[in-house]
Amino acid sequence: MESEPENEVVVKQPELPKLVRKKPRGLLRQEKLKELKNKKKVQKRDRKLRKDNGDPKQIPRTIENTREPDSTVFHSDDENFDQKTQDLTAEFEHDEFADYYSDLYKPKVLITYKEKPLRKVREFGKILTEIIPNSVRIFRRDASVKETIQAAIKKGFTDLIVLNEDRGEPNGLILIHMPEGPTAYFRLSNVIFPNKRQRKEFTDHRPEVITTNFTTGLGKTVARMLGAVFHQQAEFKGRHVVTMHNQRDYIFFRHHRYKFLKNKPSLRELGPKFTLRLQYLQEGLYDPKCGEYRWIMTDKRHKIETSRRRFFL
Amino acid sequence: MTWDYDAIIGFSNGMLRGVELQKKKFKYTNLLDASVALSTLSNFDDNNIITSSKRKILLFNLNNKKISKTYVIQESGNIIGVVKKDNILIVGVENGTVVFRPVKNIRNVVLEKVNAGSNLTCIKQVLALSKFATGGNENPLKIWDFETGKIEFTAKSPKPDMLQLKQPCNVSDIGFFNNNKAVVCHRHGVVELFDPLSSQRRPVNSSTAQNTGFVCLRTLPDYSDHDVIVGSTKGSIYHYDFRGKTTLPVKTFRGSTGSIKSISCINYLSQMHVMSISLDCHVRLHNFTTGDLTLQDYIVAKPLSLIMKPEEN
Repeated sequence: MESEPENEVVVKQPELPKLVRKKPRGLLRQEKLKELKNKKKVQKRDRKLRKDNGDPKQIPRTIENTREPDSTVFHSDDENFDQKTQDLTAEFEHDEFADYYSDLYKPKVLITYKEKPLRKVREFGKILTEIIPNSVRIFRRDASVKETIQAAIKKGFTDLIVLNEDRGEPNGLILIHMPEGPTAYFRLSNVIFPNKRQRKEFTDHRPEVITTNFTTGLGKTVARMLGAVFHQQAEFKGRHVVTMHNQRDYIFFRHHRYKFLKNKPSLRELGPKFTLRLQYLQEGLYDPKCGEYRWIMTDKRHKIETSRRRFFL
Repeated sequence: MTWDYDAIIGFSNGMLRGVELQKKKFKYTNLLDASVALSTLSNFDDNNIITSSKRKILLFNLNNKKISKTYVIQESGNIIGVVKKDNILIVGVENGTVVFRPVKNIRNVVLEKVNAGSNLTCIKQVLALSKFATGGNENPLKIWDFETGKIEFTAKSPKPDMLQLKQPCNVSDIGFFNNNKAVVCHRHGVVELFDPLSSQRRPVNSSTAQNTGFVCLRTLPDYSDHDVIVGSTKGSIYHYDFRGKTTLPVKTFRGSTGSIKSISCINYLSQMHVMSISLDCHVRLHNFTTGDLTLQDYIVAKPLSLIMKPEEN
């Protein structure tokens, strides 16, 4: 009972936040730089110590080497590795590209655009026809893609490329293997056209084709599909190389001319440069409404992309 | 019984594989390497199963793991399904004819072939009745009698919408309940329930899905007369119930990134599971009550057909 009045007195006032004076900007930067310098110093010392002790070099952690394990990538210490590789070769002997890779036919490619293409896409198609051997480009006018496919099959074409554009920039590429599919839709970005000097170096020779870093089951199919657009027998006289390199699901297209200077190779960029990103791979010919998809990202990107370290190609 | 396997899968590269369900594992046994795409699988008797590829029907013996007999159908187009009834094989062909082929060469066959309309995609046997059902693209459900070869029930083409525009009809699979009601799923994403016993020829109940199509369907065994599971073109499996008024699915089984080729129900660890094969080359087992993915495995080649062990009476 006695302590009651005391209690009333000791009601604490809420503390006012202390006014922290902001440090001047230059000072902050100086501190940060100092820290960084010290850190680098320590790192350098450690590295030297490790080198003197004869320890192995450390491998930096990157997104690629910490990527999530995929069930369709084979490792030699798997449970039934031999059986799976055997199955894969058997699968590739019977898929849609088996005829091409056993050299039974030569590809014939048709390149078309959206309904009324603007200048930039037409230019892009023109450059593609120059790179891809045995290819023709046409305007499809008001004919639908399905009609174009049927007409192309009758004329004996084996692949069809449809270019799409948005606000004058090429932004999509549909690649259809005929007559039995599959169909792939790529998002197209960062298209850089060759300049005048590079265009002069273009020749009619058939280029060599390299597809690298496709590891998963889906990736191998896509690589086979992209490779089947070009001819198998390259003309080495032209010294052209077309590279399609996959890195973190982005496929980079590059076109070079190589040269050997006293056993030292040198590359010269010819262009165009662009990046492809797979959106879907469909079984059979182009049929967006009723077609069966082998792999699809549209509409369910958030369900599929659960982690930054998960890749599909 | 010589069924050592819980299920058998037919592949596009001609392999036939038996699958055994073990604890947390699938066990595979290679049965056949036919090097032709095995697009359909169905039951013949205790020791034999029927497979088919293009124009051939193959009788496969499970005892000595060999093809015991082959039949060739003289029709243009691929075989889409085979049904066996009392020593007669009923074969559906893509161009719309249904061929009656006796197992042994008996001369006095009453019926030889029946025309079931163009673009046939599905032929199924009605449970416990001497009837079969057909359907296809712009070819609504028809139920036929075995003996007479006459149509017993034809579904009306779907009702035009409020602007009197024609609605598509693209049957991809047919199933039957124990009370002889028929379920039909369409390529453009519609599941319909028909009642052949009533006079109503339009669907009794229907559900639609947005942005997907349906490929395969299975009615639940001994469960109820209203539930059905449907596999979609974009990789989800939906569980529909026709009792309520909502057209939304009860449950979705997720996990696949490719189109579901075939689904079935199976008892695994004394719980009901949904087994599915999909175009991304995986076998999956989902728990039916919880909807979780319990098992999945990469099977390298592209699966086309699935058949389960027939239930012992």
